[in-house]
Amino acid sequence: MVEENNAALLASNNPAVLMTNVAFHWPGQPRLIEIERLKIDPGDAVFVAGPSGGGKSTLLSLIGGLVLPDQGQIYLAGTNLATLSGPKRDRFRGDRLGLIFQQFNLLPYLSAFDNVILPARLSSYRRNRAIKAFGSVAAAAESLLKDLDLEKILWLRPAYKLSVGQQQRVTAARALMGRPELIMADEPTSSLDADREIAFVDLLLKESQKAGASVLFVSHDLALAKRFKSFLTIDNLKPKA
Amino acid sequence: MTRLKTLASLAALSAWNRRGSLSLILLSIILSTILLVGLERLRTQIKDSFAQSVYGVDLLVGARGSQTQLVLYAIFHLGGAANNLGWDKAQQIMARPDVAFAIPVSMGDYHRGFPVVATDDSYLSHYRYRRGRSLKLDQGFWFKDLFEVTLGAQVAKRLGYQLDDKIVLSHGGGEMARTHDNKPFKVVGILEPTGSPVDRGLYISLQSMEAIHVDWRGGAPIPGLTITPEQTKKFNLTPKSVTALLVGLKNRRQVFAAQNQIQSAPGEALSAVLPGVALDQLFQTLGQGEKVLFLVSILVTVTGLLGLAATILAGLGERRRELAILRSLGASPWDLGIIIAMESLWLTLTGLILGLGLLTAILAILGPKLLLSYGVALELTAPTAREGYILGAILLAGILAGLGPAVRAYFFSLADGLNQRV
Repeated sequence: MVEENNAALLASNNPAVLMTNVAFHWPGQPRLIEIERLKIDPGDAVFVAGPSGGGKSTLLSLIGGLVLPDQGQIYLAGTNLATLSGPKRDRFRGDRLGLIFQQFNLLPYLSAFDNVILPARLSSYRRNRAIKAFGSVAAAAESLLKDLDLEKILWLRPAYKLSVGQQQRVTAARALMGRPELIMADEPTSSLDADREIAFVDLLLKESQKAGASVLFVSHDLALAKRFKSFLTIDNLKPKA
Repeated sequence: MTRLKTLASLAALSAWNRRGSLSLILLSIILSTILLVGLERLRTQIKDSFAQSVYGVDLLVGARGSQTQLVLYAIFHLGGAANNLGWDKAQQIMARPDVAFAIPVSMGDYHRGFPVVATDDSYLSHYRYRRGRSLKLDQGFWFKDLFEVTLGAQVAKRLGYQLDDKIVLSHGGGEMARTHDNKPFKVVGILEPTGSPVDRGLYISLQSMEAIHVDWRGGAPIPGLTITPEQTKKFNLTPKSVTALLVGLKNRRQVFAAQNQIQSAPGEALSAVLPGVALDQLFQTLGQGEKVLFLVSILVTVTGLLGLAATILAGLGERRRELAILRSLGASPWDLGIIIAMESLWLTLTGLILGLGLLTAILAILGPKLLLSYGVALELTAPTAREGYILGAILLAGILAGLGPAVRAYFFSLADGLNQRV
């Protein structure tokens, strides 16, 4: 019955993420995640709030296919992650997901430009999509870096020489490279000041929309929530008693 | 393929980023390579120059006795011969139809510890060493007349002799040896270095050897009798005996027949030794040291590679973030293992190339000096098959040394997942 419902849902509007009846616990710990249903439609921008240790990062690991749930189904871009082998899930994550973290996002020994094109070097899916949209991977990277307001003079600078704000914009460009179906961000603005935080979120949402990607944004900072179409807390995803 | 290329370039860039800490380990790989390949080259070239101290000589003929003793004395000028070979008998062998050349050598005298070899022009024209090289004069000429001497390269270098210097030979090599001080020799030539026992010899004619002994009987000067160099010319200076004959045959396949005939000929009992076989046997006995050397250099290399593994392992902790970033971009734990393993591959490969380059430079600079001062012929040669195996083994060991850290990186990344805050 659940399978049929999922099939119908997937067929109806091809959601970026669909989770049904998912439960997960880390070994030796109580159940951390219980989600009756979570659906993120294409182009949707979802804000997920919750306290520290509440399972926000675990939710990202589940959607990213790094861990499999104890029960329930997780579909990413229409594919049931449980049906893929470990290495295939890794590839699939690289193909369909753009990830942004709070800090330490960039490989310090690569330039800003090389960091941006890295997903296209590791994933042929994203390479082909970048080429299809922009003619070449380099052109895609240039376009993204321009749109994210990173001055050209900084493009070839090693990542560790960029300011925190510049690094976050390069990270956003890298996440958007090759137009993945979903951008997941985990507390990406906590190292920025309030003005820059809002500016970054707006830029990310604008660029994601342009690229046709859905956004799942995890943060404890509720002030940002109003900029998103949907708002969720980990708690209200749980089944009602 | 594109993916592997990407992983390889990431491994190289990451290593370059940590070049400070990695350069020390690279240095140890370079030194290991120099040591291992250098020692192997030294070992084979010592063996080569030993086994090929004399080349193209099919039979070494001397008075009946020990094979080893004959080889040691006639070729390495070590020890002594119990008996000599009569000149008549020597001439009979020289006249055999199957003999291409026969070099007579007569020994027993020394000069300041270096052996004197009395011989004739055939020594210069027929003596060959390492892979068939012939002797060449560096200065002057090969002795022509009585009381002329041509020096081996090491003799001239060690004793600081030049052309036209006068030297005196002594009878026997010991401390108490009497000298032929009334018959000094003039240095007329110096040979080029060969890295063979030739370098340690002084070369005079068979007639000179007779001439310095005309006023001697039973190994001592005849009391009251002094014959000047000029007067010796009036004597019959035809040698009465020689120590050995170095014989080259026209057809090498007949060596066993010739050996048999010479040894079983009636009259004086002779030994005819195949020098290659005798030298090989000798090296088997003397060559134990080379195995120890080889073992030591393997231990040095293993130490270097353990250092490589330890350095990469120690660096993994600080690289967990980097690995987590790659993981978030779709790299599998397997990919991360490959990146770590490739790092040790890069390091080992770079170390090997630089080590070989440095070794070549060292050999180019020090080779000629070693040859002249120590008679060790270390030549610039392309790596041999065995050296190829050694280089391959270092490379393989380097990759294996990287596997431990690679496996650890694999499990790190499984445990860390996308957690960036490690």
